[in-house]
Amino acid sequence: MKTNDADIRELIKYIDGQLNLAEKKQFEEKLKESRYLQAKLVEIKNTLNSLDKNISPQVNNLYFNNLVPRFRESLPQGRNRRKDFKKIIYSTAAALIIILIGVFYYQNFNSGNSIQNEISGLKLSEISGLSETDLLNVNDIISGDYTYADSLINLMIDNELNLDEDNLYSVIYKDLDVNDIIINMSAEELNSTYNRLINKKF
Amino acid sequence: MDSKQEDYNLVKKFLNGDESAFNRLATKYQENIYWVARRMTGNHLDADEIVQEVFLVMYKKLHTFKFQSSLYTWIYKITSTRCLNFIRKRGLKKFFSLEDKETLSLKSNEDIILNIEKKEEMLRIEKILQKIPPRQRHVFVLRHFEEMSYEDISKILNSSVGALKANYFHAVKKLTEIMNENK
Repeated sequence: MKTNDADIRELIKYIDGQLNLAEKKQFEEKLKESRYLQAKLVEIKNTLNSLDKNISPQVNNLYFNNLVPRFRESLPQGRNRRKDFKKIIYSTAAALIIILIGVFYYQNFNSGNSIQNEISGLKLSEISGLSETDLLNVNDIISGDYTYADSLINLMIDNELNLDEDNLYSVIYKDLDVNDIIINMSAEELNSTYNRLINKKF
Repeated sequence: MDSKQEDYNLVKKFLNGDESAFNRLATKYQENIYWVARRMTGNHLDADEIVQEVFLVMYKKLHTFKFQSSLYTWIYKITSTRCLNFIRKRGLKKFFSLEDKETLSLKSNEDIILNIEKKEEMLRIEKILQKIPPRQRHVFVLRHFEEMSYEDISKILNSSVGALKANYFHAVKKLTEIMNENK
């Protein structure tokens, strides 16, 4: 009987258990009639049987017992190292935050102290001109509330210059009439001013 | 508890920080990984290297395992990829003559098989297996030695069942021819 590659394929399927019941029956009929297929069947089965000897050889169990410990040794303790790294990052971040908060408070405390020192260094006569409200503001500053610091300093400067609000305006706007200025200028001054204005690049 | 459920519990434990769970998983699958690698590479030293690589991949990538397939399929997939990469690299080394004779003789001498007769028989079979193309060898190893279904092999090798059956047919045919030549 003539055999071809398709028969060998079917034979391997038959050995491999890939044929359904009908196909198996049909192939077994074919097998009965073909000496070639029968010989091939024996040949392939022998090959697979001799390969089966390879399935469970007696081995040194020490090797398998040491496989996982060896793997563990080769690990750069990655997981633990990763955990340690995270711990270091978190603790560094926490430490930095604490340091920054500390520096921030220290700076505020120092600036508060410098104002306190400045104020406490004033002579009684220097603050005697202050009203009760101003003194309360000074108290606020001493206790760390600097809201009124600017107004207090401005007030002190005004007192020092002996300026009240009306005086200040009178100083700024007094004698500012341009015509008065021109009348009081000599001809030379007028000429030079005129030339300077002409040459001025705006 | 079935094997799949046991694997699931061990993976969960490992991901929750229980390192011993990984040891148990590795111990459970180490022999399968070793023998697939050994039959694919044809010697103990290369197989040993692959086992260590597979353990490392398992250790690093277990968090990506989604339980959509069984763990053993996933592990076999890693093993298969490692084996094929290894064989490809070895082929390149041989081509450029980077693997010296000393290394090759060391590879054939180092072994874990105790019985000398068995060892010789084993080496003979390993040599025969090395004579068929890696793809066919792979399908044959998983089907014949690991007794896997074609469906599982198709998941591992990302191939259709029909193509795998064809690979198996060619592998058996070639192995029979080689065996006959060696008689």
